[in-house]
Amino acid sequence: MENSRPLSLVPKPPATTDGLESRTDDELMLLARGGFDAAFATLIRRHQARTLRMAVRYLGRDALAADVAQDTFVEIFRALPSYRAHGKFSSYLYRVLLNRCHMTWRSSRAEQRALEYACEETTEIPELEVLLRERRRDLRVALGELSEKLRSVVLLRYSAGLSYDEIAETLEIPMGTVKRRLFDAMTKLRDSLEGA
Amino acid sequence: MSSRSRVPPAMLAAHLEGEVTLSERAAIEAELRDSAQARRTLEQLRNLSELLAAPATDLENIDLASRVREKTRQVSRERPPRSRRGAALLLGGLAACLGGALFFVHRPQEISEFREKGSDAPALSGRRWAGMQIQRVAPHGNPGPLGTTIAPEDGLLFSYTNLGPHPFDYLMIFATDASAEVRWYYPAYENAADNPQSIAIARGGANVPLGELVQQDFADGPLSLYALFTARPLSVREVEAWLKQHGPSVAESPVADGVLQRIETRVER
Repeated sequence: MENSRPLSLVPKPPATTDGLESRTDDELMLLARGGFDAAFATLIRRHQARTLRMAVRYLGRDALAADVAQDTFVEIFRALPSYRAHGKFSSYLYRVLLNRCHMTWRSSRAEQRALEYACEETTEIPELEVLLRERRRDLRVALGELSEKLRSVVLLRYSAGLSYDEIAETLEIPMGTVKRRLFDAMTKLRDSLEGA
Repeated sequence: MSSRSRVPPAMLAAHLEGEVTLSERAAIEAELRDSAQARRTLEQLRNLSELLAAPATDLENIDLASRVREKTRQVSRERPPRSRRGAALLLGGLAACLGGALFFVHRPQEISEFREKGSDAPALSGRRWAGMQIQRVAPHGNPGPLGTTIAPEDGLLFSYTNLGPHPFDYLMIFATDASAEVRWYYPAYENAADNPQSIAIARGGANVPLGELVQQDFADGPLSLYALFTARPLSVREVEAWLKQHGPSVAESPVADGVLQRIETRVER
């Protein structure tokens, strides 16, 4: 039988993986749903730095963050058949990621606290690096003291780099609430770090 | 010059984000000129935002795509938890009770016989319930159930149900019209050089929409719409070869652990 003409509204699968980078998130999701695996891999590569950064700031531990980011994309992959392409992929992605971060945070909090002040350095390291590590550890502690609501907003804004619109969409709250929480969070973090 | 700031830190955080009114901005800038404390607080907030945005250098270069691919393969080999399947069954039952246009497909007898002789694959040990639902959308009209006829310019919306103790993992949806041409919907297939595979589907879903409105200029005459549910992905070429061998009136799946559903309608001008 002859090859047929396909559907008009399903993105045309490319002959090669070249050019996938220029596709929108929605197009990549639809291509992935059509069985084009390279499209989903492109989507992951596009978002992995920010999702991992957000997860590690939220959870404070690299291994947990990598698992949470991985499980986030697995969940999105499994939900491909029901994905609706409305130009809101970032909001969808970070909503899934945040839910997973919340759950992981709650289940690992006791262990987290025990590790918070664990001494990591066993070899000689430059003084600047020591200061930077201390600064990161203090930030981790300060973020851990924030409520989930404030922590989510401040990390979506600075670690994930979302706009106010995208944060409001992700958390399903008004934009005014986003701003208020963000400024509150920054004030509390600053107070914690200066008191550290 | 004062060392104490009259501007609260939250206002300075808003200023850092450019989220203040013109009059607030003027007041803050005046305060920054006068107060060392205000300047220090603003600097602390700026450093804090940079720290929050700093790359997680040890982590961000991992091959996350490979990890996800491996995990999805692993997950697809595992059975879903009993409670989720139960919930999905309940949803499916409700959907059926509401009179949705569900077309359930029973496992063909031939597959059962084949398995009894040669295989005891657990995927086929129980009764399977899966099906495709189709809605017809007239131009500028609302979706409605697919009837015995459609117009060439009508669109089609697909959804699927994938319930039962052993649901499927993959689906293909395609059609043959009066010209005997195969029209591929899921997966999309446009380039003859490609050979796309079945799409992955969710287990335990009822009436899961596939999203896109399919619009084609169908040839007048009979139109057969097929849904092929399988446990492993099939390629377009495999299925076309099988169609070529058996003809468009085929009623059985090309693989023993799959289920084929065919829905007939007619294109009329």
